[in-house]
Amino acid sequence: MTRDTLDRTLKILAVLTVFTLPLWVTNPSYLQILILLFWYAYLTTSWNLVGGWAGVLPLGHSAYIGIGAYTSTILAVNYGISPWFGMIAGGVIAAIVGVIIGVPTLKLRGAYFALSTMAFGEGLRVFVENTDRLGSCVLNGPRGICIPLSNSFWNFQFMDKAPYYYIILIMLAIALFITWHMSRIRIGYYLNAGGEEPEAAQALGVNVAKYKVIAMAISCFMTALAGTFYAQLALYFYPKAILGLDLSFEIAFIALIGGRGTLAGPVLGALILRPVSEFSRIYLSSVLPGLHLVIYGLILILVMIFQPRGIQEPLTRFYKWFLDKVTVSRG
Amino acid sequence: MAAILEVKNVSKHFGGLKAVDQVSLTINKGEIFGLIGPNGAGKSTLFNCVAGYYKPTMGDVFFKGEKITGVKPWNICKKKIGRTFQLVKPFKMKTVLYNTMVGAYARSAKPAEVRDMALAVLEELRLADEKDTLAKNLTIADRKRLEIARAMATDPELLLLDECMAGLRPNEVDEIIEILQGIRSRGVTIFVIEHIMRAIMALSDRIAVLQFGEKIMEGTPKEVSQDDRVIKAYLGESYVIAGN
Ligand SMILES: Nc1ncnc2c1ncn2[C@@H]1O[C@H](COP(=O)(O)OP(=O)(O)O)[C@@H](O)[C@H]1O
Ligand SMILES: [Mg+2]
Repeated sequence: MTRDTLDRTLKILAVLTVFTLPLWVTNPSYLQILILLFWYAYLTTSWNLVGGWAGVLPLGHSAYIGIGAYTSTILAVNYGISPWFGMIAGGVIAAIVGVIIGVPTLKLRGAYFALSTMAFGEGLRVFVENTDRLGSCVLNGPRGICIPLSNSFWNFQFMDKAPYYYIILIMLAIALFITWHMSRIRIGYYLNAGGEEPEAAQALGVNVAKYKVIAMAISCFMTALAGTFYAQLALYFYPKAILGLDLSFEIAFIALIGGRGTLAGPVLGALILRPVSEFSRIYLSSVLPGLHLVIYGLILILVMIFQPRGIQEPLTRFYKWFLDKVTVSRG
Repeated sequence: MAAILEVKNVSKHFGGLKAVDQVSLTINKGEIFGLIGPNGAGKSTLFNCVAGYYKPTMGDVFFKGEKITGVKPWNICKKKIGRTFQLVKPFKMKTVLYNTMVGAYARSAKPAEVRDMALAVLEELRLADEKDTLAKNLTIADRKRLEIARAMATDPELLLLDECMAGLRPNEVDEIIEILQGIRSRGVTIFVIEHIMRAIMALSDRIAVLQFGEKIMEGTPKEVSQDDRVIKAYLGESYVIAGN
């Protein structure tokens, strides 16, 4: 077997495994863990378009998750609009908000951008927590919203976990494809260039600010879709769960530890950190709620010291070494 | 000869400091025009006024007869003025080819076309062998050439080069001179700031001398090298350094 065929075989096997997993994993709680793992991978992949490529560190992306969840839910509960359409509406609103936030803040350097996105995220949470009604729409403040049960594809509600699994898997696949495609065309080159050396990029014809805002719009749109997904998965959500700082941080942590600005980083980051988070939630949350973020912090420090480009780098290197080793020893 | 760039009474003040003071000059199409002067004379600042990084405090810049004062850098690039930076600014974590393709995307949106254009430029800059090297791993000489390659990839009619030979060995300087002559022979006008006298004298058709922000003279390399004020202000010191 040549190196290329082995590489391809392994990748096809991985894809097949992932797509057939619900056939063997029948325990709904395990499937739920996998769904959330992909959900985080999807969120981080969306975040990566701004946080990884445009060279800034957004720390308020949960705001767009919230916008997605609340928009589609309000449209469904109040107006009977299918969450599938509500999801798109949430994405569009999130993109518009992202542009409004992005135009002034994306010009800011480093910490100032991070702080202002954080402030916006927190501001939105506090606003929603203190708002019971917005016009004719019921938000219920900190108590959140329950989505009435009615299982059907049209209503984006399913008895089993498996449909949710496939939906988030397809969303992740599309997000990865978009990222991969963008990295190979002009916008990807311009975002990377503008993120690394803005002045040099400008001299080469790049309107750096404009491309960052475009990236922000795409990223916020994609992030909001995950908000609707979460609402339909849980059928109950409240501001702390989807608008919190810790969610924004968790996304950034996964990206930084996995490998910021890379295709595989968000997925590998989620693959490694989600089990940590689930474990600490199940066994340690009574000791110290939010402990997973403390553990993330420690892991982040170690990763930044030893692998500043994230764990995707040694993992990719190991995979290549493995391919070489196996194909050589087989002759 | 047709003027391609006209700088008319351009001044740039930083607070009380007149970094560029009422400078006028005209560069003709196809020419190599040198700009010399001691450190801090205002050369880079004048470049930044032409390339849109600074808006002149007073005066105007015309490119092919069109006023471009205050036009943003990325739009200056689209008008076909390319520039390099005195302190090179490569995209360090990217390959030489990637760096150059960023420039070439100013000309086309088709990745395959852009790649070919970038490769052609790297060939001209004699960097083709390094196309897969990460920019951070290049020698200083190659970084300087990458800086020119990226600017050339945008297909400029006027190229602004800010000390692109500083810190190079004599044989590396000779190679850049050769490359620049090749670029000029294709009809690209070059406006070059340079400290290395041998290079600027060999390259330039005309030279302007800047001191304390003011243009103190302009002429052929021969005229400039024989001018008393220039020798006093600049060449004397530099020749002593070069002699060591
Ligand atoms: N952005 C700036 N702010 C304040 N002073 C500046 C700035 N840029 C340049 N200067 C000053 O303007 C003068 C000219 O600088 P510069 O154009 O870089 O000189 P040169 O390129 O001829 O060595 C120097 O005194 C420098 O300190
Ligand atoms: Mg200078």
